[in-house]
Amino acid sequence: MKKIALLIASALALTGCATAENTTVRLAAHDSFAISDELIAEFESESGFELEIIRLGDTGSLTNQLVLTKNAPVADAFFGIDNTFASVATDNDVVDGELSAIDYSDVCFNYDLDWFAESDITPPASWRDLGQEQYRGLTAVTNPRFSSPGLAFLATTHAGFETSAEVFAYWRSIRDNDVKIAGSWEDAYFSDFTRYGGDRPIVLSYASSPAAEVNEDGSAGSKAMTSECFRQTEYAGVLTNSENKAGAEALVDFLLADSFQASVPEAMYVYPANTDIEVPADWAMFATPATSVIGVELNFSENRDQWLKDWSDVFDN
Amino acid sequence: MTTNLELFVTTALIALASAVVSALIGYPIGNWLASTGRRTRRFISAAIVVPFLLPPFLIGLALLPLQGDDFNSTSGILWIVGAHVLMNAGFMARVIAANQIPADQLEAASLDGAGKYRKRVSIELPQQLGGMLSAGLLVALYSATSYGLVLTLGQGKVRTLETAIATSALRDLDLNAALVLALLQTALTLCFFNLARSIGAEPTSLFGEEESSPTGSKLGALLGAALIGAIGFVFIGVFYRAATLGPGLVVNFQNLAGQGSRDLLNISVLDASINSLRNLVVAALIALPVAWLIAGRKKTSFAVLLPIGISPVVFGLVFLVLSGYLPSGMSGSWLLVPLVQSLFLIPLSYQVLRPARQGVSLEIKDAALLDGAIGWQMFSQVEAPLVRKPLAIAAAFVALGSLGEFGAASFLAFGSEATLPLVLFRLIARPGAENLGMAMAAASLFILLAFVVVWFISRDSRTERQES
Repeated sequence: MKKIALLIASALALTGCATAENTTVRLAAHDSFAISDELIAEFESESGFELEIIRLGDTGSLTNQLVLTKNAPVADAFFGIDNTFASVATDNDVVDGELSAIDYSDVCFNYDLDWFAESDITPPASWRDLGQEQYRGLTAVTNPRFSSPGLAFLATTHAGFETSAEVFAYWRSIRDNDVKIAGSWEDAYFSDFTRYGGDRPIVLSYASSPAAEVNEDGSAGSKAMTSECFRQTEYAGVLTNSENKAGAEALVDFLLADSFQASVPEAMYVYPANTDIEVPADWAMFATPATSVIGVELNFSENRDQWLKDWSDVFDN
Repeated sequence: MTTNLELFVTTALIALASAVVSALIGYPIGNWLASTGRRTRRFISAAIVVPFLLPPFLIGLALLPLQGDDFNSTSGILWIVGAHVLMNAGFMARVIAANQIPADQLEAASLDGAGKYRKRVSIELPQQLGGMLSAGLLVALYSATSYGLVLTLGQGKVRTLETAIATSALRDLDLNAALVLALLQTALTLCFFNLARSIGAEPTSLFGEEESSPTGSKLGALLGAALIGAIGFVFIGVFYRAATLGPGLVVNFQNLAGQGSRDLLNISVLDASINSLRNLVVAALIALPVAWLIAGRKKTSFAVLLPIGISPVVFGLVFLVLSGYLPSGMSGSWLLVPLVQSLFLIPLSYQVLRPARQGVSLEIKDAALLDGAIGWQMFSQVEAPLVRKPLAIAAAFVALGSLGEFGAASFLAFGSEATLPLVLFRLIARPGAENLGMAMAAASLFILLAFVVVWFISRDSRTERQES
């Protein structure tokens, strides 16, 4: 038995050596986080810290992993917790200090211009129209339990109606109109959307998505319905119990600085939080932000569970 | 909302149904297997045991493309039970084949005028029932802990205790609810495990000698052929898809060095395989020596075996909760995964090594001691060569067990530390023929590896027999 104890002890000792040196700063981010090698080099030479990026799935799983490992965090700073999940992070004391807004994007429906041009149907003007008969079987949304745009749209409907009864009625109307519920944004956009071989010409995505759908002749391939969208803001911050607070703070400052801010439209299809930064020229044509946003004032930490439960009642039964 | 009771009942029913159907199919196949010639028997035994050795999530992955669009929770449960049967019927058959009734008993019965049916019901079945029951309980245990398979084939519509534990902890951050579910899950599986132990079930009969018996039935032959056909169909389907999906054979394999279409993965499949191999080496370095040492002790240690009865998902959850209390370098470390894996790989190897080590006669060891063999010499020159085959089997169990482990890793392996099963699951969970093609290419390699392992072990036993 002594030998066994020795073996286990030596295995434990091995792991003790795995502690990260304080010259490294670890950033936990969601899977869509993108940063160029040039910017990484710029950060490293300016700050003297080496950057390690740890991707932890989508926004929901990023937030949850950080909460579950908060006593011994897997990173020093984070990027990508958004305003739909921010309360989960703050309620669980994951963040040391303030959340810093890095970028924003507007969740709204996109439709395939070519598809509607070929059909006799007039495209919808607002998400409120999607329960109408002429849009039967044309729409794909994402599951709010797994996807942050899905949750954002669920919030949109709660902000857009006076009573829960009206929200219920809306969701039932689009359910009865054969809306497709996709597991993730990837599924909805790259699998169900007609521009990628699917059979749904209307898909829940972002106001900036049409910038990626410009046809070869320079015309727009898709269009976003930019009224009553949900503005999703993504934050960065220092993690409680971080082993390298100084490095984490330097990193958050870097994400707020001009060079990184200027890179976000093309790298991640989002708008920089710093509104003084100029966005690429074609964004002015194809990816204008929403003309009106709703739902920002909603209390996610209080309502999320109930919203999701109600949503499940409509779709799972 | 699904209540905890409903989850418990669903999990138990899936497990029991899987066990009963596996037994009903495995029983006649086992009797038929015992009646076939030696060469045929060796070939069939190897073929039907491969799915049993594959990780459950991989069986799910192999069957997933066969599921149609018309899918609901009931058909999901049927798919899951079917997958469990595909995995375990071969194991069941081999247990039956190893539990044949001595020929003289049957001859005596024939002389007394007993017909074929009479012999089966009054003589064979009662004597085989114990082995069958205990093997069935083991199948129930495996079927109650096949998280990866349920996740894949259930498509989110089938909820069991394990999926609910993961959802409560990882999605809803409700650790209390997750721990309650974990207790229910553990009560269920430990119950299966203890019952199986109490009637003497050992998975070691897998590679044991099978006895000959003349009593195979046409039904057994038919079912045996059907099982091999089904296994062949599923595996060939995986190879075929690896060759034809998306950009085709060569590119699908080349893509394994990449991160999926639109860089879906954090790390390439190749990097994930390297992580998995690294975990495997660490887990083996812990599990095999520890199991070897405990197996050499005089007393049987029941406590050592207990972890087999606990779901890897529960282990994952417990270590996730504990991670906040571990030394900080350890809690986020990749080493947690192989450490947790070794917790259930130790008893697995122990089961194989214990009878082998106890079987080495004391006289040999005493003689070696007198000749001055100590410690490492005693192991490398005296004992190890004598129990070479069980050691190889234990190593194979550890290798496949660690490589294919899904439940614990899904709680403990983050981002760039993801293991092979985790990245494959991510590939199949996202759209795109390119991603599915990659998953199938990796699955093909896994299946081939399992075949190689089974072939290696069978060959080993043959050479041993020639030597003796």
